[in-house]
Amino acid sequence: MAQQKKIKQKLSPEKRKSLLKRSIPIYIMALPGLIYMFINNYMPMPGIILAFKNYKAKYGIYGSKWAGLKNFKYLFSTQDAFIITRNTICYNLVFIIVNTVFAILIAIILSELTHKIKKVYQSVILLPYLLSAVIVSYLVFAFLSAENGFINNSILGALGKDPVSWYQEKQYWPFILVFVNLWKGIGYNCIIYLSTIIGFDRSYYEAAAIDGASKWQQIKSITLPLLRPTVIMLTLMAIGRIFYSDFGLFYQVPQNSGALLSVTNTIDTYVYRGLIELGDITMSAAAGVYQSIVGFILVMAANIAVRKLDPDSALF
Amino acid sequence: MKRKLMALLLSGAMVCGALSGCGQGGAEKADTATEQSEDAGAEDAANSSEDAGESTAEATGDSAAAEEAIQARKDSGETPTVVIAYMNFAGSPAGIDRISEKLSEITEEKLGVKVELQIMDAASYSQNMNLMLASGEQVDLFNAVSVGFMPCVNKGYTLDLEEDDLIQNYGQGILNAFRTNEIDGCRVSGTLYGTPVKKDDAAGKFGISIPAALLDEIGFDYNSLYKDGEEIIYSDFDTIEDIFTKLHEAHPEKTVFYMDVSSVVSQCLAIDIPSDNFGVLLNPTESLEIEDLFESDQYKELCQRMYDWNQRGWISPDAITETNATTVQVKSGSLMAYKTATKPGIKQQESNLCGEDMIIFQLGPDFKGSSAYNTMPWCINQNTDDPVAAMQVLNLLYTDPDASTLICWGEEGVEWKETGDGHITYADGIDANNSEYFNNVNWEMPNQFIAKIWEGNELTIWDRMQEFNDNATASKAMGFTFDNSDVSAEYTALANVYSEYQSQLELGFINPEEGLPELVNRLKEAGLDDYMAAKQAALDEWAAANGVQ
Repeated sequence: MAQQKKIKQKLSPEKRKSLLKRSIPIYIMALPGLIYMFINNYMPMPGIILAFKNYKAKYGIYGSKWAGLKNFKYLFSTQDAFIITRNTICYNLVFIIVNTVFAILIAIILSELTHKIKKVYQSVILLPYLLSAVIVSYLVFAFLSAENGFINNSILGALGKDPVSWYQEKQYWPFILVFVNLWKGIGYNCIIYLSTIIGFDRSYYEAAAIDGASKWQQIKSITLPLLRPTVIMLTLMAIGRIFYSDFGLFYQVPQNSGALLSVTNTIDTYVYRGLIELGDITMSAAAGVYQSIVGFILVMAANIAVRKLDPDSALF
Repeated sequence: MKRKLMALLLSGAMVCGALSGCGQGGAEKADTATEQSEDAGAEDAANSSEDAGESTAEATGDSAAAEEAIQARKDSGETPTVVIAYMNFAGSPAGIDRISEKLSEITEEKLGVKVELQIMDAASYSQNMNLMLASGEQVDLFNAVSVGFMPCVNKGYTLDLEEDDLIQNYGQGILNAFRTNEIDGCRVSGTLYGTPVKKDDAAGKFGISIPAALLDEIGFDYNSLYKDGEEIIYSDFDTIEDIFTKLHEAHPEKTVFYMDVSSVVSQCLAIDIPSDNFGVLLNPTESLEIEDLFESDQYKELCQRMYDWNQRGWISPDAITETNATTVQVKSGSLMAYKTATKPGIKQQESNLCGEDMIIFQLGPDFKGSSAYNTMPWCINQNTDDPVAAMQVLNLLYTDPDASTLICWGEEGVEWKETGDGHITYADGIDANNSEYFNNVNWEMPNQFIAKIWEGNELTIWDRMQEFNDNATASKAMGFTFDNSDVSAEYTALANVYSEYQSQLELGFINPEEGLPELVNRLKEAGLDDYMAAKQAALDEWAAANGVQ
């Protein structure tokens, strides 16, 4: 940052002008994205006040009476508040760690493969990411159904073990959810790492090979250190979303089974379950505001931590 | 992620809606308001008293004001469009545009208005309607089923139907179709926000539906059990359990019994459930005391029975995750019996849905709860441009047999044909699967009583329905609705706790001896007592205002 500032100050006005001229096409290219972001992320922002309103359609958003923090009360009113917060944060932490480790692993393996097969593998791994959560939930159901499921009939049966009522036994679900999430997301996660790895200067590896470095040594000493900024950036972004949960994963995949609630209820599913009958948009908005604020604080905190440890890798 | 996106979209849409809404709406509304007050003259009063003497079917409510409004509309050369929204179970049918056009032909001729139907499937209806109503998208008339009447009123989506005597001037036909207490069932704190529908107001509790073919197979003689002319067999648990035992022996590979968890309490127990399960009237004909359902003997007995049935292997181990409708399961041959609420015409309805002859048993009484009239009222959006046109269209649907038949059954010659004996049936080459408009949600339509009667039902079905409604045991709290907006935080917590235990207890997957006390404790922690106290206070207030003791 500081260096950039110095360079800018040194530039003469003419040079600055020509630099600007050269960047115009780039700005134009970015324009659709910026417009989209403005419409989608900034224009609805005044809607935040809904969370503090006692909304009546007759008076509109701005005309409705203020409700103070009443709309937030339900999020904290019971012992469930602890469970849903714990579930949301712990699952996301595990997801971040497991997904990053496996995504890097797969990305490295893919980068070492020859071209033709790589494309096939890459597509196959990516495919689950493109499925909707409802379809995923039925794929999982095909394995776990108590009566007709693959695991109960073909695996546990063959091993001579008793069938398990998967949708009523909560002790298995933390593992099932982590696995399903990994299976679904890994293809997408590894694309970014793969593209970063491919972008590395091959001469590092050539030099290492000449010096007699093994594959493992190359990975440990070249690939991983070079990947560090990408890992930090993606992790920071993931931390910002740590207070959100993948609704499809936590609601659809366990088939909304009540018995599993204590391990599958997250903030999003709690809000959905509570409000599906009330249909109260102000309370939904309150949950959204709460998640956004905590997410914002977490990103800032994580970024400060990173800046302390490794200033170059910090986002801002 | 989805929720966030939705919240963003919603608020974005609402900002736009709010901004665009301010501009034009105000002026137009002011116009219609003045028009109305001018129209509501002395003539009108005389006219409506004449109307009152006529029978329901003929009274179209053509007051002078209504005539004038129609004439003014036709003279202006503009035909406003009234958007009508309701739900079915299969999503927007293929023939929706054609039916809209056909219905528009009638409304254009009679009212100078066009209509557009918006039909959404049950799963998404509530969400879509909330979005449409909140965002200011055009929807003039809507059925509040699934969205919930109280939530709509709370959020101010519904128009006061008596504002400027709207319903008195333009909806006489609606007022004539009901008794005063039925209309009053749609009042909240004295204000009329909706109109009831002509349907079964009572429900036969704990009905069980079994295919006739299966009963024949196990050699059960049901024919001798029918009392004269009745379509339902009034029976007891011993008989049913005997049948289930035999069915299970004959077809161990099939599931004996399943019920949709969301309606177990409301369709099995003869108790009054004002708005939700948290605080109910266990003895609704005698007392107005709000009690805890989950500590009641009735609920315990139900859970105990289901646990017993589950232990006997009658309920599928996958029942908790089942998402197919019961009738679909019967159609596919995996299920042999299911629970339903009964009413006149139920045998035909269930047979239609299952595609084979069904025998209906009923184990509980006929009962009419507090929400009989306001579970699915028709409401006018407060945001509508032309409340008069909306009310007149609604009035037409309550009074015009052709319009009612069209919206209930579709078009003559395409969806249905006359059978010659006063019934109608599928048109040639049409069946339940390829019909372009076969919603089977006539209980949600404004007035199915004046529509044509489908083959298999007696022509006197609506007389029997009236009798059924009148004779059923009624709750003392008839017409009471609980506005829970002050205790919505407690409600959210209670709903979450209940959903953790509901399907397990009510489908018998856990022993009620262990599960029930746990549920009761968790609900108490989540604030059930406060919630029930609030409900009791509201009920007492309602009772005092309505002179109920």
